[in-house]
Amino acid sequence: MTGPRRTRLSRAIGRLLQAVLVVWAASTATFVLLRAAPGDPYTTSLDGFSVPDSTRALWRAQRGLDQPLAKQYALWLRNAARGDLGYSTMFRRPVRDVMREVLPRTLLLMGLALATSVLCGMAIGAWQGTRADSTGDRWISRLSMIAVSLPEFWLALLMLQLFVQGLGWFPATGVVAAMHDLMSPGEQLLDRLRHLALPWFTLSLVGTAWFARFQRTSMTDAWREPFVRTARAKGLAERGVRQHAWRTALVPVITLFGLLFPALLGGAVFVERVFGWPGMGYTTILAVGARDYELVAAAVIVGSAMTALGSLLADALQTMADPRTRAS
Amino acid sequence: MNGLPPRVLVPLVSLVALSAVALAAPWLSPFPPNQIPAEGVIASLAPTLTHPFGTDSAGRDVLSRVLSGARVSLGIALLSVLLASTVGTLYGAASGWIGGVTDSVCMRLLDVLLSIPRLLVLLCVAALWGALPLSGIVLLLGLTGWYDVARLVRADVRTLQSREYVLAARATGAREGRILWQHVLPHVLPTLVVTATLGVAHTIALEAGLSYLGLGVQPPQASLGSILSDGTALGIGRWWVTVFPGLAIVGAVLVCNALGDALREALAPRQVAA
Amino acid sequence: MIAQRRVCFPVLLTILATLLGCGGGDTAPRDEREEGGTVVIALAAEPATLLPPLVGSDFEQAVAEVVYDRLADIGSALNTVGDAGFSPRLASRWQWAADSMSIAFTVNPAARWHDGTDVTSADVQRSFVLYTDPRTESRNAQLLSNIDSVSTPDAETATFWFKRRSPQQFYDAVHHLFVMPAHLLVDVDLTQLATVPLARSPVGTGRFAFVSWTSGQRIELRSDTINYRGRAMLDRVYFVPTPDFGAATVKLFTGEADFFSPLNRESLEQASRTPSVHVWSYPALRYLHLAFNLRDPANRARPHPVLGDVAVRRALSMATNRERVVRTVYDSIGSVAIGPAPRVFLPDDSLLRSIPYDVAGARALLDSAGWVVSSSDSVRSRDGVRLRFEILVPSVSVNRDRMAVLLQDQLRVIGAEVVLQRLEPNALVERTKKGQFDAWMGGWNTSPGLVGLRQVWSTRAIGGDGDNTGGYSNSTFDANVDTVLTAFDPTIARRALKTAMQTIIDDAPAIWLVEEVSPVGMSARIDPGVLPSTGWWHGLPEWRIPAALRSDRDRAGLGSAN
Repeated sequence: MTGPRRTRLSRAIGRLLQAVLVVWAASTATFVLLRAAPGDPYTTSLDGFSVPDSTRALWRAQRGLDQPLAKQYALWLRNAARGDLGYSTMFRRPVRDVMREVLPRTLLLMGLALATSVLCGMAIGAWQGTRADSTGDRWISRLSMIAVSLPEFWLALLMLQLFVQGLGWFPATGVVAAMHDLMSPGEQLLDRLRHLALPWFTLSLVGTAWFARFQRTSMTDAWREPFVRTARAKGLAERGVRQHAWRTALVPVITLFGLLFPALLGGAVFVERVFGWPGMGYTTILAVGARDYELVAAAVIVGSAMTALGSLLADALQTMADPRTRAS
Repeated sequence: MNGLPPRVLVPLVSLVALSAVALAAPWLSPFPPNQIPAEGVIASLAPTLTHPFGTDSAGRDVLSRVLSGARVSLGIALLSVLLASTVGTLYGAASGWIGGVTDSVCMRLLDVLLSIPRLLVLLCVAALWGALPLSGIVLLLGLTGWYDVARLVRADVRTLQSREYVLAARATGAREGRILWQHVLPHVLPTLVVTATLGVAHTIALEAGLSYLGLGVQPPQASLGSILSDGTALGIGRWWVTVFPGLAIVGAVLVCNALGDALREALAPRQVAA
Repeated sequence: MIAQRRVCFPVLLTILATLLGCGGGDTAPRDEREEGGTVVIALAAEPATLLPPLVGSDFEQAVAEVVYDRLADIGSALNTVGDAGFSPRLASRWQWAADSMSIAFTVNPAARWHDGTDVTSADVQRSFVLYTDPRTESRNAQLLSNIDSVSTPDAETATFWFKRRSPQQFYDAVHHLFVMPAHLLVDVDLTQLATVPLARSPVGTGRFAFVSWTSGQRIELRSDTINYRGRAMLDRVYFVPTPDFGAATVKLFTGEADFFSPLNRESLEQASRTPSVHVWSYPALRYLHLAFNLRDPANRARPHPVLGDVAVRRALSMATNRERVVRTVYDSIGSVAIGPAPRVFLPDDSLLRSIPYDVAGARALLDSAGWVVSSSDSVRSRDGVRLRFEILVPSVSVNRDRMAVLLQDQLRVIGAEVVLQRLEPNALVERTKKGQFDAWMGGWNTSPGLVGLRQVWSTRAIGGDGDNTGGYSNSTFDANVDTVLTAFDPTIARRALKTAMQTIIDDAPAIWLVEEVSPVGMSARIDPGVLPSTGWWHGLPEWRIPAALRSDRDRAGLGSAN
C-alpha cells in the first residue's frame, strides 16, 4: 500500500469512529439528563394512562428499570445502537416509527436549504471576491450582515404574516393539503412546492448570507495570495487564475459546510415550528409540550447522528477538493 | 478611543448606547412592563402617542416590555457568554499548553461535543426540568456555548507557544502556569473579545428563540422572544407586537455582529494561508 | 453546446406546461346534485383514540361521535325526563316494561356496520360491557351506573335492566352509550382496550364512515351512501389537527380550512371583515373554570398544603374580578359562569349567591386564616409554606391562556404567587388524572340532565375512572345531587339542586369563570342548519353546500371512481 492511500483510509476510518463516538456521547448525555431530571421522568412517562400494560412491561424490561444503573446504561446504549429509541407517549407508537415519518421531512427541507445556500452563497461571495471594495460589493456585504443578524423564527413569522395571512399566496401549515390524494399529479407537485416554498426560502436566506460572507472572505484572501500574482505574472489567462483561486477558496467553505449543518438544524426547528412543517424539529417541540421524554431524547441522538454524518460528508468533500490534503 | 477606525467605533458606540438604554429600562419605561390596566377595556391597541409601540393582548405597553425584555435578554446573553468564555478559555488554554495526547483527546472530545446540536439539547433540558429560573437559563446557555471559544483559544495558545518571549520566559526558569498567565493569555485576548462579541449576538437570538417557544424566560417576565409569541396569536392585524420586538432583536444582534466583524479585522490579523 | 441548449429549453417548457395543465381548473365536471361537497375541519389537537368509551376531549368526540350512533337522540329541548322528545337512531322503537324497571330497544333492521355486517342486539350488549367494566376505566361508567345489565332476548332486541326507577333512566341508557361492533371486539383484553385496532380505525353505523387516519396530518371520513338513515349531505370530511391557534385561524381565513372552533375576540373581528367566513354561535353546554386540587399531589390522602384550606380558595375567588376577565377575553361571546353547570340548566340561578369580588375582604380573610405577608416580598406565607401554586394551561387555547395571565395578575395583588405552566392538552389530562397538579385552567362540556354534577364533583368520582381530579368531597352536595337525579317530584328536585349548587359555590373548589357562547368560524358556502348544543359535530351529517356555491375542492375527485 502506498503512502497517500494508507493515510486516506486511516482518515476515513478515523472519521467514521468519530461519528460513532458522537452518537455514543449523545446517548450518554441523554441518559444522564433523563436520570438527573427531577420527578423521575423515566418511570413516570411509562406510567401514563394511555400506555397499554403490555407496552409498559415490554419497555420496562427493555430498559431494565429494576436493575442497577450500570446495567440500565448498557441496555440504553444497546437499544440506541439497534435504533430502538423507546416509546412515544404522545403518538402512542414506538419512537422509531415516529422518526421514520418525520425525519425525512426535515432532511428534505434542510437538504434543499443547504443546496440553495451553498450554490447561491458561493456565487454571490465569489462575485464579491472578484470585485472587492466596489460599490456593489459593499452593498451586498451590508445586506448579508443584516440577513445574518435576522433571527430565523422572526423572519419566518414575518413571512407567515405577510405572505400567508396578508396576501394568502401560500398555505399556512403542513406538507401537503388535506385533499392531496385527490389531486392530479401536476397539482400534487404544485401543492408540495407551495407548502415547501416559504420554509425553504426562510431557511435558505440566512444560510446564503453566511456562505456569501465566508466565501467573499476566503475569495479575497485567495485573490491576494502570492501564487495568484505569480500566475498572473506568468501570463496565465484571467479565467485560469480565477479557477485556481476558486479551488483554494473552496476548502474553507467546505469546512463551513460541516459547521453549518448543526446551525441549519437549529434554524430548521424554528422554521418548522412557525410554518407547522411536521418534521423532526416541530415534533420535538410538540413532544416538549407533551412531556414526551423518550421522543425528545431520541431527537438529540438522531440529530447528533445527522450532524456527525454531515461532518463525514464535508470531510470527504474536502479531501476531494483540496489537492494538498490529497497528496498528504 | 481616538485611534479606533469608524468601522469599530460606530458599532461600539451603538452597543454601549443600547446597553445603557436597556439597563436604564426601569427608569425609561413609560409604564411598568407587566402592568395590566386596572380599569377600562383590556385589548391590544395600535401605536399611539401614549403607547408608541402599542399594547399587547393583555393591555401591557409594548415599548416598556421591549425595554424590559431587552434588559433581560442582554443580561442573559452577556452573563452566559462570560461563563462560556471562561470555561472555554480554561479548557482551550490547558489543552493547547499541555499538548500531546491530552491535547488530542481534548480536541476530539470538543469535536464530539460540537456535533451534538445545541438547540436540541436545550429543548431536552426544557422538557425534563420544565421552566427554568433566569440563573438556570444563563447556566444552561453558558455551559453549552463554550466549544468555539475553546477551539480558538487552543489554536492561539499553540501558535504562541513557540514565540520568542515564551521561550525567553522559560529560559529564565519561570513556572509554566505563570508563563501561561502572564505572557500567553494576554495575547489570546483579542481572539477572545471577537469571539465573545459574536457569541453575544448569537446568544441573544438563541435566547429569544427559546423564549418564543415558551421554554426560556417565563411570563409575566418579559423577554423579547416571549412578546413575539403573543404577537403570533394576534396575527397580522396587530403587527406592532411582532415587528417592534423583532426589530429590537435584529438591532442588538446586528450591532454585535458588526462590532465583532470590525474587531476581527482590526485586532486579529488574517493569517496568510501557509 | 448551443444546439443542445436550444433543444433543452423548449422540452423543459413543454414538460412544465403539461404538468401544470394536468387537471384542475374548469376541467372538473359540473356538480348539480343536491348532495356533495368537501369540508376541512381544523381540530385543536390530534385525537389519541377514537373508541367511544375512551374518548375524553371534544376534539376526539368530534370524530368518534360522528362515526358511531346512539340508540336514540335527545330532542332540541334537552328534556331528560322520561323519553319525551327523543328521536330514534339505532333503535327504531322501544318498549317500557310495566314496572319501568326495564326498557326493550328494537335495533333498526336496516342498520349495517360500515363493513357491511348487520347490527344486532349483541353489539349493544357488548358496548355496554365495554363502557361499564371497571377494567376499561371508561369515564362514562359512572353515567351508566343505574343500569344493571343489558340482555338480548333475540337478535333484534336489547333490554336494559335498571337498578332503580329514576326520571332520567331512559336518558341514561341512551345518551352516553355509543354502539360499537361486537364482531370486531371479540376476545379483547379489557385492560388493553386502547390497543384494539378499532380504536384507530373505527367502524360504526353513522352517516359518515371512516376512511383513513394519517398520523399528524389528517383523518378522512366519507359519506356512507347506503346508511339506514340516508347518506350525509357532504361527500367527504377531513379533520386536520392544527395545534397552533394562530395557524388554525389563518387556515380558516385563507380558506384552507372550512371550520374552526372556538374563535377568540380578534378572530371574530377579522371574521366580520372576511366575506368568505361566517360566524355561527351556539349555546355550547360548557363552562370554564380554574379548578383547584384539594389534595396534596405528593400524598393524596392529605389535603393540599395551600389549596386545601377553604379560606384560601374563597379568598382567591374574592380577589378575582371575573366580570372583567370575561369581558376582556370574551367580550360579548361569554358570560360569567355561576357554578358547575350552565345557566340553562339552572332554573333558579338568580337565587344563588356567588362569592363576591372583594379584594379587601380577600386580604382580610387571608390574614385571619394565618396567611401573612412576610417582610421580604409581597407573597403571603403560613408556617413556612408560601401562598404559591402552579396553574396548568392547555397550550392550544388562546382564551384560556389569556384568562390565566389576567388571573395571575389579579391574584398577585393579594399576595399569591401564581406560576403558569403550558402543556399540550393530552399531557394536561394525564397530569390531572394522576392528581399531579395544583390548579388547571379548563372546563367541561356538560351533558343535559345535570349528570355532570355527579360525574365531576361527587365523592364517588374520586380516583380510578372518575373525573373528580381535584378531590372535592362534600356529603351534603352528594346527597342533594343524588336527589336531583332520582327525584320524580320536580319541586323536590329543584330544592335539592339549589342546595347542592349553593354548597359547592360556597366551598369554592374552583373559580367559576365563563360560559362561552362558542362562536365557530365556518366557510360562508356551508349551511350547517342548526348547531346542536350537545356538540356542533352532531349536526355534521346535515351540513350542506348549495350546488351554486361549490368550489373546486368540493368537486375534486368527482371525475374518478367514488
